[in-house]
Amino acid sequence: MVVKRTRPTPKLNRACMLCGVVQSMSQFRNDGCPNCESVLHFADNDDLIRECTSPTFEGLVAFKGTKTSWVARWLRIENFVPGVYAVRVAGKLPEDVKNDLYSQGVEYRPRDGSVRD
Amino acid sequence: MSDQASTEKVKQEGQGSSLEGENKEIKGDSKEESEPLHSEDKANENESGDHGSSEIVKKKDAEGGDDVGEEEEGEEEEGEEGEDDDEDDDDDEDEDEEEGVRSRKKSRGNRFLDVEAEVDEDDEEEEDDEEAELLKREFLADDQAGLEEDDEAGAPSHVKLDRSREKLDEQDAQALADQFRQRYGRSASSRYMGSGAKVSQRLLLPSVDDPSIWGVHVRNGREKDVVRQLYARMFNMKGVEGVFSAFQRDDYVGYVYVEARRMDSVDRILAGIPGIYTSAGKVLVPIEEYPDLLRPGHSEDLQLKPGSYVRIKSGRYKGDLGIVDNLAESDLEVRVKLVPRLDYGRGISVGRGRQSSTASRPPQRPFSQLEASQYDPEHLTTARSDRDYYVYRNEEYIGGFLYKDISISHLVTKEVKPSLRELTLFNGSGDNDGIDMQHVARTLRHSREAAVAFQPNDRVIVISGEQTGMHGHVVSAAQDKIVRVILEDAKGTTEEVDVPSQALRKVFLPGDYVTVVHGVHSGEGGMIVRVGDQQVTLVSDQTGQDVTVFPNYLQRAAESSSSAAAAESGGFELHQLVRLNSEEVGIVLKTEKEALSVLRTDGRVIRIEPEQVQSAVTLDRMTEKTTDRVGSELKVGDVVKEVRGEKRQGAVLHIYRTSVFIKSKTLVENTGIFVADSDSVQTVSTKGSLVSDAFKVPDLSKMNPNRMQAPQSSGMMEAASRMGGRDPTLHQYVSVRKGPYKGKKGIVKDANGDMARVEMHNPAKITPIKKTDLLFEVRPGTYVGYEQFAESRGRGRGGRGGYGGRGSGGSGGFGGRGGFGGPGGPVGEPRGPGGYGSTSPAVSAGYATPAGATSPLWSSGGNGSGSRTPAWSSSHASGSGRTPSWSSGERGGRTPAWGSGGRTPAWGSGAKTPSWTGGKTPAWGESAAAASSGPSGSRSSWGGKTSYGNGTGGSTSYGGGTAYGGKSAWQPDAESGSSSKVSDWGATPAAGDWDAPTPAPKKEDDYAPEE
Repeated sequence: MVVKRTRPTPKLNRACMLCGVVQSMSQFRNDGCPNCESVLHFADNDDLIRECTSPTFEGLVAFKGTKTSWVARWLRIENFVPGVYAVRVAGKLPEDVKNDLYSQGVEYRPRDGSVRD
Repeated sequence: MSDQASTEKVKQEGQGSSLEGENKEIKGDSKEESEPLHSEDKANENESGDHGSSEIVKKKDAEGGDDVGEEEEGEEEEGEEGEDDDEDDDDDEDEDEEEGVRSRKKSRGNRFLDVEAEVDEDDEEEEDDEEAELLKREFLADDQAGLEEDDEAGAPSHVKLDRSREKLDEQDAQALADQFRQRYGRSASSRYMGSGAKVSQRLLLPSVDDPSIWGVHVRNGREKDVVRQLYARMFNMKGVEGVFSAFQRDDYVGYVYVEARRMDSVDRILAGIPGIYTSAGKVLVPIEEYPDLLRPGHSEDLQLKPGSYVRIKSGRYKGDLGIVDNLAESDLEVRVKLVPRLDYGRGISVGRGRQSSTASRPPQRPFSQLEASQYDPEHLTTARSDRDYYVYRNEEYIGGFLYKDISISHLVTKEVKPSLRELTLFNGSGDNDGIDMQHVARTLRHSREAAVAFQPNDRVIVISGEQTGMHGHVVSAAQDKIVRVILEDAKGTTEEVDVPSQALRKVFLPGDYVTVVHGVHSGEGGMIVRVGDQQVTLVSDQTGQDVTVFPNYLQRAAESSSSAAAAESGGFELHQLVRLNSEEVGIVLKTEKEALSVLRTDGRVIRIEPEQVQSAVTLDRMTEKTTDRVGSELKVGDVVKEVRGEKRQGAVLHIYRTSVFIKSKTLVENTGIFVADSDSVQTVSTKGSLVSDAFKVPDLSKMNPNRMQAPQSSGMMEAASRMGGRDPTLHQYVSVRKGPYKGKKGIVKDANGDMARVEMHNPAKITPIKKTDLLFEVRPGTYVGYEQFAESRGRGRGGRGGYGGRGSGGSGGFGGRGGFGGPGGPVGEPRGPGGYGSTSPAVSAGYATPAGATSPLWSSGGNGSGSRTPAWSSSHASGSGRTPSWSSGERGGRTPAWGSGGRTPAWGSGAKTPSWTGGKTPAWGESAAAASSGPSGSRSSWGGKTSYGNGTGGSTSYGGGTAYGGKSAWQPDAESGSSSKVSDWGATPAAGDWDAPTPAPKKEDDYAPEE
């Protein structure tokens, strides 16, 4: 796999606004989001990564990938791959991305704490 | 993904899993392998649909040891899926049986189609089309029908073949999975799995079947590292399969939470991780607290809005205040407005290396195009001066401010509290005022919420929630943030509800008098002139300017000026005298949150912080005195006029040495307050009474009884009566004879022109009523109309005036009372006119005298000790001349007249005067003493009468009463008031005399209730 590395890997982690997974910028760039890649095509798309992932997040959750986990169900990450997730991700997806998701039948629930139920 | 679709998918998975389970079962049955029981169990549990079966399976797996380790993961997944199946069963119980049977059948048939099935699964997921799924299911079912027979017949051989194939498969399963994952990693995970977003979180609430959560104490700041380490261990460590997740929250400092079934796996996964306090033990979090642990928290914590205040964390502007101008869409970058720190290439600090040094950086100053072009023109690239827009050193400057895109991580966004100095920097370039306050308010959210206080009867409108738009008024706000409100809808029906205070906005109307309780303008009060959509404009009493604020920052003010005056800043009040340094004092003109406007003695107004004030100047009203230009005494409250310059006029607020702080009602600047030298002002009127030009003797002279001449005093009386002075109706008991309050009784609290403000006894309130509509009580039970009252008062007016003015009027005032009594009193009536008629000065004087004798008591009530003496002495002085007339005159006839006439008003009014009660005893005593000191026995006797009124002093005066009888024994002693009192009374005790005044005590009793 050809790895494009134009600048040093930023240490700053970022969280995907859609699924909440926490990865480094380079991970997003190289591998995309492990959960959302099919709907948000992060890989090699720095602009999209910047728009749809947030460096501001809170509450780190190590998720083993089991559906038994109540924590995962509560955070609505039980269907996602194992990984480190954020409880709260600041920021919302841009409107156009939101519309795009909607047309793909994916419901976007902001993870910034603005939606409660 | 729609709900149904997901359910469908889960079913599919369930089928798949039971398929696999079935396979195992078969395998176990036939092969008698290492764990027959295990598989059996699992299959059974799967079928029974028992919750948590998978868990047991997993535990078994774990116990199974290392030899089955390879299979663990695969089996675990099955288990989970099994559980999913279970959940599904829970959801549609009715389908359960059928579905179970069918799936078993299906799975039996499908054991040949293992691989195919898995592939199918993937395919199915790709297409959300339900019909396709249904078709497929039928197709499979059809397949089964044929296969089933096969199955029954040739089981052994097939099973064996299956077994061997499966064995191979399973051995490679892990490796294969890894391989697949590697190869198709992205595509395998590419299907977005959704997150059950449609399911309300209420349905996700934890139950006892969910794993437990343990809280583990870790070193502060290590929480995230520990979570990461735990994450790594979840996959690399043996024996921690029971741990499902671990998390930390920034709100719970020093804790990491681990979700697991059993505590021993928690122990195992935590073992040896640095930074964990094992000794502190683990806390099992109660189930009901789970959601709190994972609450998303307050979203506004992370939200910036244009206008919010931020601080820069690093760089040249480190610590500086910035205003958010705009936000990037993702909220990650912020365009911040800053006050530039530029030296235009003149200093070294522009160099890159020095940027972080805050010590040597240039001060904050607006961008200056002039300086830039002068000193550093090569870096000034673009200039659109028409819009005040410059690019200098690749940074944008608009309107003198720097606009810079800064990553949010370089900003302090929470609890930024701008100081006044910083705000003025931003305000310097003529931004509109209102914006500032709003932004401060927005940033200072916490204090704002605390400050928004709803009070009962506040009118409010609901601004969010179901009742949005409804009006109502507050019933109570006892709870924090919850307000009980009565809402009214258009039909007039009311409803009492509890509303969170954030959902309410106060409603004001133009004309309401309000005080600002929060924000930059906090403390100001004024009248609302305009009510906008979200804001209210009021004219500040303090500044006279328009102030625009949020309605919730306002509170209805009960009393206009007083509450505004009570506004404090740093403990300083409006119009307070403060010491600025050892020489300078000033008067507070305006109090703000962080600043005071102070008018100094040199006439300049400065704006300082409360901390810069050395101290408040404490002045005693008694010592705040000076003399005006002509040498008249000047006190606080006197009205003075400048003799030079603008000839400004106003009331004295404070006197400091020779500086007089004056408040004018006509001036606008400095809210009407100006300072003048005492030599440049002239007294127009003293507090309480006017001083005419004709009578401009220093007040002090009035204190000297020797200088007080009788004629002068009488002349003064006239003057005073002309001048008006104190309104005679003040403090009179009245009865209303006309209008809506007809028949009600009350006391005149205030009088102006022909209106009197009457405090009603019932209802207890003050109402303005025409004086002509009032009946005045001259004696208990006896009311006279205003005209009559005024007439009688007119005679006594001088007295009143004198009374007010103490010295001269004092005697007159009493005369007035006496005169008043005259007409009213039955006995006095015939006499009175005569007396008056004959009232040659002597008589009137005579009247006055006794009055004067009493007068001290009056004045004493009102004016305190200082005033008493002079008043008294003045009457004394005049009395000396009069007394003879008194005694020699119609003593016999008079006496009763006095008794009734003199007493009545005295009592009546006395009772009314507030001062009366307080000053009664000493006053009477004094008067008695005074009487005794009077040269004539008659006078003293009069004093006696007076004295009779009260307890201790009364007894003394009683002696006076005796004196009345003609005891002249007094007189020798009469020289000094106090001594005479005691001794005389001792000497005088005439029981019989006592009897004579007795009616008076009764009177007093009568009055008592009225007091």
